[in-house]
Formats: sequence, structure tokens, C-alpha cells
Amino acid sequence: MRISSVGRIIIVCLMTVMVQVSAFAVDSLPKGILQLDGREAPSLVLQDIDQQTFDLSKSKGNWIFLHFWASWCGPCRKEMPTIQAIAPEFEDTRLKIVLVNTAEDEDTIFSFLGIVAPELNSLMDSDGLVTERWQPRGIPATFIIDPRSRLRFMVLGGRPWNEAEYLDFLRRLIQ
Amino acid sequence: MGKYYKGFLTAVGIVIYGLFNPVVVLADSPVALNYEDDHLLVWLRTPSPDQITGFYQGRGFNQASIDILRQNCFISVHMKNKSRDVLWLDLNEWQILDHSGKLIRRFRREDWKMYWEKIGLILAHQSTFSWTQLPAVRDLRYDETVGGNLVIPWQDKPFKLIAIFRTGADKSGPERKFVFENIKCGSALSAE
Repeated sequence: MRISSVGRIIIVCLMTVMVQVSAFAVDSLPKGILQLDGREAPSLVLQDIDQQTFDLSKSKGNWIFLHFWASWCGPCRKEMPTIQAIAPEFEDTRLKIVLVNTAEDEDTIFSFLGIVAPELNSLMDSDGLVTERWQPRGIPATFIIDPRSRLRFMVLGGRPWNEAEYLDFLRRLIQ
Repeated sequence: MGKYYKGFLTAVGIVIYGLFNPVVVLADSPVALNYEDDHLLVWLRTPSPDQITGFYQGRGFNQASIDILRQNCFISVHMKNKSRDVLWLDLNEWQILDHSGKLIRRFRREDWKMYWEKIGLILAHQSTFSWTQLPAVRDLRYDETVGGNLVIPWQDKPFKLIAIFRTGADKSGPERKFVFENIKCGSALSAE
């Protein structure tokens, strides 16, 4: 059976995607990172501290590191500086770091980030309903969403993102 | 009488005194309720009403909610699955028994929902409270930690907690059971 040139292009694209997914063989994932089934990500439209609106559905084409946090959570206080540490590396790349604060007011968010991670901004889920819809396993929690808005990975608890195995994991997403 | 013999008698006296006068643990001393092995880490603490008040008041909870919270007994639980096997947290399988062996019913999410709606607690605070509770059911994966509060009506006397964990993805692995005895409400300092 002859394959048309369009067919060949499609096959090459499919193989590229398969290679990307298989690059993350389950046993090569860093501790605490689980592969998800690729279902579509729930909607997320929230404002940040500067009143700028972020709509997840408009971020297709990028990997999204979506991180839920709160100021009262001890592991959040430990993890946030590591997220700030890696943020500059991904600033102009296809990996966007998006923080979502769960159910706190602007002053609390501002005070916390001002001390712990002054370079980071955060979306505000003021009444906690968006977090409820996403059902993270706890706080902190991170979802990694692919450029087609599919849930690809879930991160259990806080992780040291500036350590080599976690940083390499993120780098491989956009290679 | 030689000085060494006097010292010996003094030491014996102290030991005999100690047998009839055991050291009393002060009510506000931390009581460590910990277990750890190669597969699992579990610890419990019982923060005091003032610690609970401080935490939730600091988050802006209204006085009506603080009044409800501080009259109950908080058990802060923290656990980590250190094994490659799935470890199931299911509070429906845990038993909390009072000093007479009677089962104590823990507060569930629907109970809190009812209280919060009655006193008009804002959604943000309902959400925060919810996230500080221990999940009722969770399949803990390798290296996953979970923590949160379990709340029961205040107990004036020590009580017991029997924590049961099933293992394996389908819960068919060996069961692990831990008994924490002599837990006192509000007597332990929080771990944080």
C-alpha cells in the first residue's frame, strides 16, 4: 500500500509524540511524579495579584506547570523558593509556571510571596472553588498539562524543583 | 559509717522513693505518638484549643466558627508511605475508643458543611478548613505524605485510636494495624 506524503507526515508526527511520551517511562520519573491518563484538563480562568486574567484554554501550545498552594501549608513554604529558583530558566520557553493560591485573600498572598518568593506572581482562587474542581490530592500539588491541554503528570506533595532530577524532568518536557 | 556506705543508702532511698512516687508527666508536655519503620511513618499530635484558635483566627475565621472548633478535640495526623506498595488510608476503618471502650464518632465533612452553613462561614474559610482535614480515603503512593486533622468531640479522659491500613493497589495485601493509647485531647504541642 502506497502512503501519500501527507500520510508520511502524519506518521512522523505520531512517532514524535510517541517518542516524547515514552521518554518518560514510568520508572524513569523522579520520586513523587505520577503519569496521568491524558484526560482533558478542567477549565481554569482566574485573576492574578495584578488583576490580569489567565485562561488555561488560551495556553494551548505550551506545557503548563500548574501549582496549587496556600500560606498555611508548611511544605508550600519549603517548596515555593525552589519554584522561584527555576522560574527564570523557563521564562521565555514553552513551559509556563502558573501558581494558584487556594482560598486566601490578596494581602495574605502578597505577604507570603513577598517573603518566600518575591519574584513570583500567583492566581487567586479566592473562594476555593477552582481548586475543588481540580481535586488535587492535597496542598501543595502540581499538575503538568501538555500543549494540547491534557493532564500528563501529577506531582505528589512538595518537591525540590531546583534539584537536578526534577529540573531535568521539566527540561525534557520542552526539548 | 563510711561516706560510700552513706552514699549507697542515699541512692537506695531515692530508688525506693521513686517506686512509690512515679514521675508525673505535666499535662502540657508534648506527648509523642510516633511510629516509623522501613515502610511507613505515622505520627499523631493533639494541639491545644489555643493552638487551634491561633491557627484559624490567624486565617480570619469568624468567632462563631472559632467557638465551635475550640470546644472539640483535634488529632493532627501525619503519615508517609515509604514502601513501593500502595498504602490505603481509610478513616472508615479507623476506630477511636473512649476510656470505657465505647466508639467515638469523628466529625465528617458533611457535619462541618452543616455547621458552616448555619453560622454563615464564607466559602473561602470553608475551603481552607476542608484542606486542613485529613482526607477520608486516600491511596498513598510511594513517597507520598498526607497530613491533616481528625476531629472528635472533646474527651476529658484519655482515649485510644486504632489505625488500620490496607495495602496493595486492590487492598488485598497484608493489613497494617497500629494502636495509639492514652491520647489526651489538647495535651500535645503541634509538631510545627
